Amino acid sequence: MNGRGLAVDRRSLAGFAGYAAAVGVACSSSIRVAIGQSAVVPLPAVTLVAPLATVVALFTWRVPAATPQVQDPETDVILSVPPLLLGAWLVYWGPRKLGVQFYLFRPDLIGLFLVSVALASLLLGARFAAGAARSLALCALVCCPVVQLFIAGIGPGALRVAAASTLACLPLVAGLGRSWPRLAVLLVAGAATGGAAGALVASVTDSPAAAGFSAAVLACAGALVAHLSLAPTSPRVLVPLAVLRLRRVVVVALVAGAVGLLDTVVPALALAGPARPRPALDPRGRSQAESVRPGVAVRRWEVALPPAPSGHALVVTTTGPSVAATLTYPMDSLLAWPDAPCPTRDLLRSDGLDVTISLYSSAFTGYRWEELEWGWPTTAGYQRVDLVISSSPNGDGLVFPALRPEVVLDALRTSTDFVANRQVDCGVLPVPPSEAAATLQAFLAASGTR
Amino acid sequence: MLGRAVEEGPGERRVRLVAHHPQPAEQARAEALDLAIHGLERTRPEMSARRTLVGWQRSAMAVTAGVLALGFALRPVLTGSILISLLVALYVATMVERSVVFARGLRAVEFLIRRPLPPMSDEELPRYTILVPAYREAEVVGHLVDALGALDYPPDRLEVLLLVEDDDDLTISALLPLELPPFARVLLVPASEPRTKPKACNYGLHFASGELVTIFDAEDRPEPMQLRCAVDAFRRAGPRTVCLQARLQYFNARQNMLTRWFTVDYTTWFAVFLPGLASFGLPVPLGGTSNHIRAEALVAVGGWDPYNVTEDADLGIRLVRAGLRTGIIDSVTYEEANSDGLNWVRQRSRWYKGYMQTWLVHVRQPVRMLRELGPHGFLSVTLLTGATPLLSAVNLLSWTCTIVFIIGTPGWLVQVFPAPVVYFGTAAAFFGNATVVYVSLIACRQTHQGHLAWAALTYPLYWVLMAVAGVKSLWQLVARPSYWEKTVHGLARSGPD
Repeated sequence: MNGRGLAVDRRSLAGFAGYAAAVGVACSSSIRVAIGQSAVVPLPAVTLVAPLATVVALFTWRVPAATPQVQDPETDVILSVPPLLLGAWLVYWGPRKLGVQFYLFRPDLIGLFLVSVALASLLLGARFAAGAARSLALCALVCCPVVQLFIAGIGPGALRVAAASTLACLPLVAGLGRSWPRLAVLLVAGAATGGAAGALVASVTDSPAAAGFSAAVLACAGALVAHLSLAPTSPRVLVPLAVLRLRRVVVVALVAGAVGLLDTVVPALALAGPARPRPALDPRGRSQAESVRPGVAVRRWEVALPPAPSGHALVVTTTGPSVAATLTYPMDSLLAWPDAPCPTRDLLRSDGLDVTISLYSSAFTGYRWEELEWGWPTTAGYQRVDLVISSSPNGDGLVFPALRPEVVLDALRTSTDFVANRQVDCGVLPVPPSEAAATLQAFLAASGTR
Repeated sequence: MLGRAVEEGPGERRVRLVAHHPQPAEQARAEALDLAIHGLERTRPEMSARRTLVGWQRSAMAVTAGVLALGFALRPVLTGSILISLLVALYVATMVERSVVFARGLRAVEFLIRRPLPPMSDEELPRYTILVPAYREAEVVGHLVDALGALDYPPDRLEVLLLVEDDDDLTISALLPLELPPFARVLLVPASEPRTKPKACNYGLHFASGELVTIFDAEDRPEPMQLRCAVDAFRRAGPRTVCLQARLQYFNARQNMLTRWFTVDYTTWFAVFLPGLASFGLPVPLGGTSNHIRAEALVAVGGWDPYNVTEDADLGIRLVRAGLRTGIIDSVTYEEANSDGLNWVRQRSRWYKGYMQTWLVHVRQPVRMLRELGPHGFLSVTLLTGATPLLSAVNLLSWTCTIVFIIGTPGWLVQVFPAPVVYFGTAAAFFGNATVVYVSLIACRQTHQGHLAWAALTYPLYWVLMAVAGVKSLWQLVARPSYWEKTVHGLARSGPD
């Protein structure tokens, strides 16, 4: 086995194939969402190529031969338990608590990373898991839509293409290079190859998708060629695979099945919800409108909602070309509403929609705001709808939360706010789902979008 | 020579070694082995770790497990709350105890000031025996000759016994080409269970002729003057001081982040914590090597426990229980820091398992233990050897819960954490961790290892490994209590300077 470590023998192939299958089963829902989302994220090529680059990186991973093969089955199991529990919990918790913004932050990707590391530790040993963790973590990171939003914002042209190609080959580079100089060389080679290829394709085809995809693939190829051209690293050997131990295979299969089941039964939201595009919601009366950025419009108007006691509701729509574009505004502006630090959330599946219900209440004034939030594809792109119902204990005037422009950078801050606000979470949502469902039905019927 | 060694079988190699290093008569060997394995168990059965739990301990464990199971079945929230409250109380108690000992250790700075040794003529030096247990140490045994040759002690008053298992062909092969100094000889320990270092040391002790005895591992590099330093310290100390522990330090501290953290760990332990314990007159859990002991006292307390995987810590406590004392000397032995994560976990889990074994052994007769150690000694031993591994294991669970709590605040988690417990737990976490990091920084500064500052500041990351080792040790305490998890040596990229 040479220091470049690209040779794969039959035994390791079987082990890695088993591992890949286990990860596929455990995270099937998350993978499906990622593939579905690849059409609407800012850097689709990265979302598709980075996981493949990660697979290549895992196949080529080797242990330095200078280290005696100290293996420890007990440690393998112990190290797999916390990431497995955390990962499964994130897979379950993410969609339930983040609502539509789940698609922006994709916490299940962290869950996917943790579960992958745990399964690697169980099946291939802790040493392999530690070596693979870097590639897996980077893969989860670059596939996250909010990260792609940041990168996509650095500017048009070659710079953006080079950045995208760098992102795509990051997991592979992390798996191939162990020392910083080598990592830097591989990364530069990948970025340069990908950037040049992307620019070339863009000049020929005028297709950003083709340019992005070519850049991503060729970046990985560039990094690989650079790796093979460089001096071999210190001798490396295969990890003695734990896969042949039958008990472990059974445990891994059970774990992967259990997590996969969990991942599948959790209601997938918005994007996986309505298959058919619906007409976009439009105000029929007075409305306030503002343009957040080119192509993204926010409108705000009040509607009468039969029956009482809801009475009036505030509708806020964010319409844009993609999911990512509509999810960045107005974000959790309600969280900034004074006296309402205590959101509780739940999910409602109704009329083909996955709706997040958030309840905000003020301990000081007694005001209560119930927010129903969902997203749907429209004929022109994508629309996010926030339906806010306000009520007060005295039946006096309705008070709706103010809208506030929110930039992408604030999105991360908002997520921190969200985490912080969870600390004062009031617990159980007191709104019966049937009531929320009735409100939703009434609204959809009145607006003609049912 | 090497080619010849390859052609030979293990039997021939053993014969050749015996030709160079004659072994005692078979009957003497058998007798020594019997004493090494069963000596302590026969003379002081209550001090032997051959059985992990005695009758009442088993019953107590069963009752506790039953009550917990019943509690979780009937009142899960209340049971969880009580359990968590008890654990937090244990955290707080450990934190307070550690802080007190740390503070005392920091005041004992004079320990770190080197004093010149008084002149000692060779004639007034006692005979010294160095025991070097080596099991599968082929990678490092070659360095041993240099280390032994560097010792400043009259050869005619020095005896080095290399304790090699009879069937350890790897080490025997590595020893054959070496030319050992005339004061060193190889003792072949008959192959037998338990395959532990204390058993080998007991065997060596049987044939030792020195008035003073010490242990060095095969990869150790003691400072040349260490033996003289110990002789001088014994002379200055009172007759009750029968054991002196030298400071252990690593020669490959800069190899990677793990070795840096490990060095911070050792520095804090040997430069602050142990002096603090010794200064209080509390039991000192001895380090695995470089503890210098009066042979007579060692034999009197029954030698090492062959079934205890931290026989050194156990011996330290037994010495205090026998009314004797342990001191600390300002001399350093350089060792190889474990540079591999898995290897480190194996080593640390053995230490933790041994600590728990030690605690379970000594607490068998709690009243007698309290009488012999005093309340502070009893508490110190309990928190150090009993609580430390347990809390390390619990850390893994508590960190996972903390992450879940911060991100999601699930209702069930909030319910099992009563408000006072949350406050105490948070305070213990912040102050306890900050104290440990602070003391580590000071220890590094005092021992002139400023390069370890970053390692000291990032020290909490190292605790993740400790937590894994803690869980592993708990499992092994049940499944394989006397199994000696062998630490692989020879992973250092460079040897000692």
